[in-house]
Amino acid sequence: MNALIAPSGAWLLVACGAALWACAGAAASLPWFAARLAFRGRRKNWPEDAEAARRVSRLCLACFMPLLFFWAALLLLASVLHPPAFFNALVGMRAPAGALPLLLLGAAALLFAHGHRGAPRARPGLAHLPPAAAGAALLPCAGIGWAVALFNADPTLLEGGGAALFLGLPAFWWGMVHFSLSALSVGGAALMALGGWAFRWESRTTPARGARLVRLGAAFALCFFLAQAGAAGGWLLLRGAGFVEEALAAGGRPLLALCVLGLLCVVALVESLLGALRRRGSAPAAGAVALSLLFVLAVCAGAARLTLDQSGFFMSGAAASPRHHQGGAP
Amino acid sequence: MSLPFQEPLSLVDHLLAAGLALSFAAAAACVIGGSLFMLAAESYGRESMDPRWDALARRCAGLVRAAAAWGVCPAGGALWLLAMARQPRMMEQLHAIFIVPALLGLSAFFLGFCFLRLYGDSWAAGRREDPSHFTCGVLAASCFWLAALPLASIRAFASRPGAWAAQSGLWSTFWNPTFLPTFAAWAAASLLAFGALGWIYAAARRDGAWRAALTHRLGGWMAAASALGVPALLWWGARLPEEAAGGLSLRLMSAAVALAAALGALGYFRGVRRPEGEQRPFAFAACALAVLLMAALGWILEEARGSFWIHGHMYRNGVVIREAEAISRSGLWRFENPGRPAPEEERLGAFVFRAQCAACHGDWADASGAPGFRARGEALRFLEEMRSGHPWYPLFAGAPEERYALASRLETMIEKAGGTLAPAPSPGARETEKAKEKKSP
Repeated sequence: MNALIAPSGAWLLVACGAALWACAGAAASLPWFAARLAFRGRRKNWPEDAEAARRVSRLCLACFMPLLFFWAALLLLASVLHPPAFFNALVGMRAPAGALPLLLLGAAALLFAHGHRGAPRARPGLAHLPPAAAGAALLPCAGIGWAVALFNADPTLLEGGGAALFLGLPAFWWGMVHFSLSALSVGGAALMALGGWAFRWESRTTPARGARLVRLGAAFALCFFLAQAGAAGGWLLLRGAGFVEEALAAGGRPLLALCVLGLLCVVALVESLLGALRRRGSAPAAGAVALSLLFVLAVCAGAARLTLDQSGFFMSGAAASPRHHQGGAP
Repeated sequence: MSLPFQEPLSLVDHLLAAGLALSFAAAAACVIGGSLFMLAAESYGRESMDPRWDALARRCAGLVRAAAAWGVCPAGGALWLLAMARQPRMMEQLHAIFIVPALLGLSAFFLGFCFLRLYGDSWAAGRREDPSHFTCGVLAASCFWLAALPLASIRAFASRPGAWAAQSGLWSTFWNPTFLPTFAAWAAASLLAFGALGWIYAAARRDGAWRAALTHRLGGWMAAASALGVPALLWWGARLPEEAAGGLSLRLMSAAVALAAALGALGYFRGVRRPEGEQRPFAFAACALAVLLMAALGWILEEARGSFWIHGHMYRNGVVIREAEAISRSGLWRFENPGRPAPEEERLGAFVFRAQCAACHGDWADASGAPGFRARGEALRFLEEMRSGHPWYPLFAGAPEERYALASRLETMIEKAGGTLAPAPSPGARETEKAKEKKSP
């Protein structure tokens, strides 16, 4: 059966990974945006912000089903394509992984309570707490998922100790920073898409409120995307020009094509976000465009990683294995 | 069933696994039974022009959506993670074999959820007369039923030992000998469970005519499900593995058949024949019987599990026998918690027997049989031979202390069964015997 999926399996893995990253990013960041909107709505006494916060919570809840679907598909594919490493990582991480369903269920319940019931009438001032708590519950989920991926990439890391070992890995924290920034930019794009929905005839929200949400989302997405781009640039600078040259030499033309496509996506994304902020272009379509560009960017990043993997670049020692981040410890 | 290289599960572990399995089964029953009843209610509404049927169909759609999102996903995900962490080798092989049907099943479930969402939204938007509305409902129900197929096949495959040693193709494995009876039995049980749940809802209605109409339909529904379930259960029982057929599984299967028949009889004689009057006690009794039926079916699947062959590897409780030594050395599977001392010889022997012998010689453990060694030391010699590959037996894996402990365990078994063992021959006598064997033609 491995032979059946092997030729396309790795690419399917990349596509599933990109979709999971988009869903997980939206699910992890939207609760924080909902909390922010609810808090501001209460503080400035703007009921439209409180209503928008509830819609954001409902959108976040709607992200859970595709999130679970892509998560399950990714687990299945990873377990077939890299069985020993995957199962070793899962068995080693079984205690934290066991908490995942509970955390997800708790976060979903909090978002459901906020999105469908709103704030309790007795204490409207605490309306921002349920989505904030949901966001706080979803962050460890992302961390556990990332730790399993790290151990999957380098099973020898598990030999040294227990499941909490990943907390001491610099690669884990780098990855979490990267995920958080990218999640916030995906969340901003999702906010734009939610605002764009207000322009449809069946929506009960006015277009003016929708346009406001589009601009707010664009501001968030642009800010965090630029921060992530800055962090990635800094990381590359730390690695030096030699690393980039070696990677380009190892990846060859496919990697070069992917880099060019990625750069084009970055330019188009920044342009579309700036257009939304300056009230230019189509507001209803801006969110979908931004989300599509982010997805293509994620596919490019995953495909570039796969190309380097297949060319043996990471085996040669020049690469960023988790252990390498520890300062080259054996 | 306990796993090799692990201590038997604690009561909390058992309760957790059983609770998760029961929650998953109940939620899945709501999804696949409820999606059908949703369509049936809408069809009744079109026939009778009573708007309450439409309201019921909407309510069913909401219930199915909630059961899929809040029941099937978390309980199924937790069960899956638990199985992968506890039985990684078995899950690895099952994933490798069933990857395509599993991906298709996952996609079908996701698509079903999307269609159900469209169906519910079109109720809210007042598009009931739109043909795409009913089509969405039909597609949602079809997708949920399609998603149940790979799950039933995997469960049936993993719990039916020995029958398909030579099967390596995907579809011959998918359509394994117990798949159809298992699927039919689970489908019938799901329909019965949802019928019982609907009966509770019907019994709580105040309008007598509406209550009677609902009860009548649900009673017929349960009787039909029972008529499907009883033959399916008998068919399944006939295909249970030999080692399970004589034990607890057979008693459980008889109980399940009786429960399914009782539910059908209750639905027919009380729901169809006498739908008027107080229904609550019968509805609650039906619900309790349905829960018992689901629990019995889950228990049968666990009990019926034995050794099985996948692509030529023999498994017992999730570990490939020939890989047992490598797994043991890797440290993934430990006898006990690492901080505790090593187990004594008797416990170690019992443990190794469970891991490596009980697959075929499980009857020795309850003293209904015994190994055929006649002298002390023969068992150990035989185990030494098995290490290098015995023509009739699978490879024996294990450290020297595990072999000594197992040999001691086998000798104890013989003595417990009433047998006697001659003292171990001296090395000199053994050499003489070998020389005699060489001389003889």
